[in-house]
Amino acid sequence: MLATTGTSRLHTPKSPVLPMKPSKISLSGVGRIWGTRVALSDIDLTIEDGERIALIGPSGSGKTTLLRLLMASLRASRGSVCINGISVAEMTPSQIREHRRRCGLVDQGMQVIPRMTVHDNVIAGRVASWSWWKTLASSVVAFDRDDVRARLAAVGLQDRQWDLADELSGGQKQRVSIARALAGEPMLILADEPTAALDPTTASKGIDLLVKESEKRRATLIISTHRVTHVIDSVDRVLGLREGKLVLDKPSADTKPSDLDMLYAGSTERA
Amino acid sequence: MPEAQSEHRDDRRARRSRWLTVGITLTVIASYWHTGANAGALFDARGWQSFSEVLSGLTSPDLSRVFLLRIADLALESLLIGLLGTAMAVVLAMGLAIASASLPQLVQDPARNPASVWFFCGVRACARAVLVCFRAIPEILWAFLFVRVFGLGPGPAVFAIAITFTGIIGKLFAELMESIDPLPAQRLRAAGAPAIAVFFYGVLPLVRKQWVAYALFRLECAIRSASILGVVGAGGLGMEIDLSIRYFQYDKLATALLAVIGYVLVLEVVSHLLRKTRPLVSVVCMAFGALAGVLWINIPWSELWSPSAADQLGQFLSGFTQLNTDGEFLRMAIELALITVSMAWLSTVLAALVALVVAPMALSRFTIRGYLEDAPEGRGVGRWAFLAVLIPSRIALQVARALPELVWALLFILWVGPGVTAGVLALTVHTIGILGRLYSDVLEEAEAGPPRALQAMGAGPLARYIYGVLPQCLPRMLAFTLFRFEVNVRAAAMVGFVGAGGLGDALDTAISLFQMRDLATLVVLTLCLVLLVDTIGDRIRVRVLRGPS
Repeated sequence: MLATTGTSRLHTPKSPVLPMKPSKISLSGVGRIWGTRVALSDIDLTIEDGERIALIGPSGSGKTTLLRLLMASLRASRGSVCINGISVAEMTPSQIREHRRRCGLVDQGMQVIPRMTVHDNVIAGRVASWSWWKTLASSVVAFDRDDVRARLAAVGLQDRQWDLADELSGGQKQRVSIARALAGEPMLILADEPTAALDPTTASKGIDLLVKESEKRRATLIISTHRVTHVIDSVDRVLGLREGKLVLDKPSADTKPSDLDMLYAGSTERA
Repeated sequence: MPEAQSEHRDDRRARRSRWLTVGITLTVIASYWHTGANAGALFDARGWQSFSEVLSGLTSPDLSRVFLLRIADLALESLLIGLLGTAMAVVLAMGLAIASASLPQLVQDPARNPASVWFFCGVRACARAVLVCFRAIPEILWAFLFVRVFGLGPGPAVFAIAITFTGIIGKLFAELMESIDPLPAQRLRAAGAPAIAVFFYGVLPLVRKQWVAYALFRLECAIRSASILGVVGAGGLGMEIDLSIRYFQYDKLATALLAVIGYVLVLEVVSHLLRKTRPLVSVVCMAFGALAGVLWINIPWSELWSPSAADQLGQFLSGFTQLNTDGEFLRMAIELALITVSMAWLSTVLAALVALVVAPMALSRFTIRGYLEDAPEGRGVGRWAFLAVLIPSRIALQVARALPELVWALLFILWVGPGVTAGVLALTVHTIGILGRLYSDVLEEAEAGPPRALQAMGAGPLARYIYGVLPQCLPRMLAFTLFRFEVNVRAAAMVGFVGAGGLGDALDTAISLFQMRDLATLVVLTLCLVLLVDTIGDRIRVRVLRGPS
């Protein structure tokens, strides 16, 4: 019933997902150590609500670690991460979960959940804000069919909604993960190498989609990537990491090729 | 119209899962109605009263020195029964496995005369039939038969375990031999080696390791089984459990139950440690254990060849030459067989549903640790509230698993009275323990990527379970559940021996009253039933594991 009568939620003003507070994140003196290896050190950074940021740097420069710190899914070894003025270390479990719920993640680690339909894969991005009984019921009844179809249409996969996710190609799986990250209507969209498995055309489409979605809802967007040229025109600000240090923090308009050369000096990865 | 096609596929898939759900629900309701089980009996005041007496006994176990010594003695006896029984089973199983395995690399010889080909086919068929019979008849029935021949004591339990486990181990040994790489044997054969050399150099080295590993795993099961065969008078801890229930000595019952639980725990730890060492160590331990068993347990070896044993055997076998084909009796027997299947199905489905909920609760991944490594957990004590879920779930699963079905049946009979209800409850509780453990293992092995990403987006334990872990694990969990159903059919036939309904009741009556024709008929029926369920189960399991695509 719920599954069939709902019209496309993209066109309805009232969203069934809880409205989310915007968040301002500030890091002061943040460092992170894995064993003896320093992944990040002395990061001072403030991310305002609604900013669009490209996070660039060679492999192992600490991009993923920084994203995880921003999502409150990793403890800082030094310094403090504050979300809307409250330090993550001082938060209660429910405050942490609330912050995480505001995040939409395009993860390298999880493209799709195998043995599940594409529909359920997209829904998985939304269950965090559902009550437990709705989550339980959703394993029997397919909720939000039309909305999921609309989201899949945005990534060009509307005709694969009921296929098993395993049957998709690598690029299609990546697009499903983009649709999933947006399904929860996040206020903070974090994309970790979202275009790594995509061809150039699809890659820019994917990035466009993330940008458009973040513009529409004034959500903060942080894209970590090697393909600087793909994103530089779509973002407001560029952050550059090298060996765990923040060495570049400029508005994208002011970022010069020489900045990028400095960042990737001695590395062969820049695209 | 790809979209329409996709919709159509959705419809088909949804319809299939809906039918499956409806089908399972209906069969469960039908089984409940068919077995005549009565859940209301759980709330019967008299039952409560008698069970509360048991519980009060459980709070004050008998810890007197004399009794503890007796329990330790019985536990040792159970251990030795298991060791000796398994050792005998392994030796027998090797012979029967070699005779029953079809190894084309050993017999492909164009120069052979057809008579010898037929001869070997005949041997193979006979060996297989023997393995099937050994396997399909529950060990408690063998124990009961041997008690009749040799009288009370641990001897019958040793033979019962030896026979049942020969069937189980032999089948797997043969399967392992058949699945090896045929090339080494073919090369030896081509070089002119005789069959015996081909076996020792081309077959045995390839399966040796797996044989030892499997025998060890079965040893654990055998020792557990040895601890309960006493309920039909075949020695070990089971005897004390049976006696203390008969004489209403619930304090002694409590001690015996605790001993079984502790004993099974120790057993699991030891076998876990043994599995980490070299196979030879395990073989030597097992051999010494078996030797100790021969010396310690008073087994009436001479009785095996005595005229009275031959007479008993003759009587038992004569039943098979003149099966009871009386219409009335057959109808009753078949009805009982169907009830046995219904009991097994009902309890397997119920147990699977409970285990599906309890298994994640007993995993620290879902309750305390979570999937994010070194994530901020938040201040406050809320997190530790999960310990209140984790610890009781673990203990409950452990206890449910440690006490065998027969012991649960005895306990439930005190609560709801003898009959099918007690049988179903016993099977359900024990199966919850077993499936809970198996499910936990499967869940633990799931790919951590999806649940980790879900947790990073704020998903709670339930969403992580349903969306991150379950889809990956469901096929294997289903396969385990089906396998457990097959085991439960056999177990449902066993619980009847202590008065908990099903075929076991009738078998018990037939043995007690020396109705050898009835007994033979019921044994044949049990055999057919077990074979049928195993065959169907195998087919479905293969399909489930292969997946829809």
